Amino acid sequence: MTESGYSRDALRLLYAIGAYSNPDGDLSNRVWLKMHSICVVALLGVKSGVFQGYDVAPALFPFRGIKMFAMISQEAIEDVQSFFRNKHVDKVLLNTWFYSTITGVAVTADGQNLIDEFVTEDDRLQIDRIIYCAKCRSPLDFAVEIQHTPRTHMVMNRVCRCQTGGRHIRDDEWFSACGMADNRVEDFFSIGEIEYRAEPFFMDTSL
Amino acid sequence: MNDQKHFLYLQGTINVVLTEWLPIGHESIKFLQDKLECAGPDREFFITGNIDRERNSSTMKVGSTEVRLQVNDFTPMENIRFTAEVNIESTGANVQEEKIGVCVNRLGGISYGLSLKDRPGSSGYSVDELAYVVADLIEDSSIVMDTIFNSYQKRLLDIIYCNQSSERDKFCIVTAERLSPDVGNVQELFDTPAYRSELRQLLGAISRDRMVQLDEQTVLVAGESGILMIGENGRNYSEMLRLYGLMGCIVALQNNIFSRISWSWDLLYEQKRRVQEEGIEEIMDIQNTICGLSADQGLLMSVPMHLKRAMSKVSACVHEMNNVPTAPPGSDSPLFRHAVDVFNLSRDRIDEASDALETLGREIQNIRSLASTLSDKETFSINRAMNILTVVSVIVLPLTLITGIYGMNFYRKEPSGETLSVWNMPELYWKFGYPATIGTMVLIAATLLFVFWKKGLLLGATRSKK
Repeated sequence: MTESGYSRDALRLLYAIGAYSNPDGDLSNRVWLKMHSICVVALLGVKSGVFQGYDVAPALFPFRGIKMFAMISQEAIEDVQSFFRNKHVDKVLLNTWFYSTITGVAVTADGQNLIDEFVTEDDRLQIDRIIYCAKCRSPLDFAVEIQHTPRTHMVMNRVCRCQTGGRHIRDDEWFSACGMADNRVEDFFSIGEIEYRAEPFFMDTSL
Repeated sequence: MNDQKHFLYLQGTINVVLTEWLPIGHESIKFLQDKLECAGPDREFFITGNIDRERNSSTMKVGSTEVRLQVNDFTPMENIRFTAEVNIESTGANVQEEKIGVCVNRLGGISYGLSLKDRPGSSGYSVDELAYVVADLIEDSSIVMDTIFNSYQKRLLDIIYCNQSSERDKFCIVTAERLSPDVGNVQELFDTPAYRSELRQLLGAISRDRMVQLDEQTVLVAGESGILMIGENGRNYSEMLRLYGLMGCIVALQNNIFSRISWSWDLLYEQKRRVQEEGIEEIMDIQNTICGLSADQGLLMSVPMHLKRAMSKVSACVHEMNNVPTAPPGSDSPLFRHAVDVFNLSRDRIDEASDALETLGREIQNIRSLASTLSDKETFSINRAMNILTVVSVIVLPLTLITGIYGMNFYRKEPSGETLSVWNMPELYWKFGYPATIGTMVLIAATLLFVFWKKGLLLGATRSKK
């Protein structure tokens, strides 16, 4: 725990939020970062070792009006809730084309001051590798690619794209560390499996 | 990179049960029992959701056989129990041995249960790992029912869950005999961030007041999407857990119904906006969407009836439980009381759901009429244009005939001057031939125009019949 009252991972996450929502330091022009993009950043950070204290596990996550299983870091979500309680981020509910709502967050002035004071250069470098294009240094979008298969209705992947357009330019070392393939964050919607053996168990539902 | 951090371990006999409630009734149970050949001697077989497309062939290809079933027990028109094993090839895993115990009841309650076996050399299953097991069980249980349900039942599920019924959320009940490390105070599970995060991964949102000590050895943690019971005496609370699970999954489905109704309303008003703004080019697409909404609304209308029946039965059971001298253990706990209160409040929402669906149906008819009116208006415009073309064609036709006749070359005299035939176009040699012909053509055109005008077939001219 740092002097700010947040963990090192929380400060890094706050820096990531600030980098997207307050890119030019002018809070009057801030943009809102969507929660599911924060979850992707958290997953990439966990896989590449940036977030040492975070963990990911499959959880149902609302996306495009439905709940889908995704690899979510509960610690990251809890830290965002802490930021909101301490007024270091603001929260907004956005309507979407899919007749649902999503949450966006943006850093506040207090949050930006906290970032300036407590986020170290090393923290920034670590996060910058995740959220900026290696070539043009523009922020990355974690867009959704949808493929329709005969068996399932759709398979979704997250892909990295520069906000200037086109694919993220590969940083091979970092991609390898994150376990990504061809800009796809394949592990976000594809939950893993563990080894287990089970027998049937019956719970009667009769009344 | 090790992205798994395990802090809490469940040990001993670990049972994982998912419950869900689906709008099925006696007929659906009968269908299910017939399909699973309960009356026949063979109670173990493969089952697939594939359709036989080679009706005239003696053999058939099935592709990957997905589910192997064994019927354990059934009561005609009441319930059925079977064991299901999802084909491990289809899951892509080769280290899972997963036999699911499925109970289906005519009121719609369905449970999918696993009893996890010990793994050699391990200290139980971490709560993290159980989250993976639950995720896997959610998917595999949906595969099982997808192969069994008929098209109507599958369509109903797709409507309720917006075509993502394979990942529909189910209420999770996990029981274990021991917890490692053994926390002294149940509140420590919430106060320790690492424990709290792990429990959230399994149970959804949790809070301090939803963790209770039922007795000296038994702890109950309730979350948004499941409950966890730890203790050697867990089986004493099975009745309470069963009702808790049923109430939880019924309320969850009710929430999904309302979400689907809201979704339908949003989609409907989007079509209304399109009718008013986008016009005739999109009218076919709009009408298709409205037809789809109407069909979905019709299918959803049956759900409140099933819900009401199931909720009445559950409420009666809870009421009966309160009135017996020895209530089942755990039924007096604040958590269970809270779940009952939420459930009773949800009962009032059934009528709201019915009203919302009826109103939705009426509004669909209104928007459909609006779209038809736009379509008719456009058709009217097209017809009017066609009308003008027809009038012009009819007027020009006799004139074309006249010019065509006089365009023919029938000579009256030969080149030598000798008369060939007095019948060959005498008008050409008449002093007033040309003005007479033009006058005739004008007369014909004027007459036709007058007739069309009298009949109201000209542009904008409508005559009301007195």
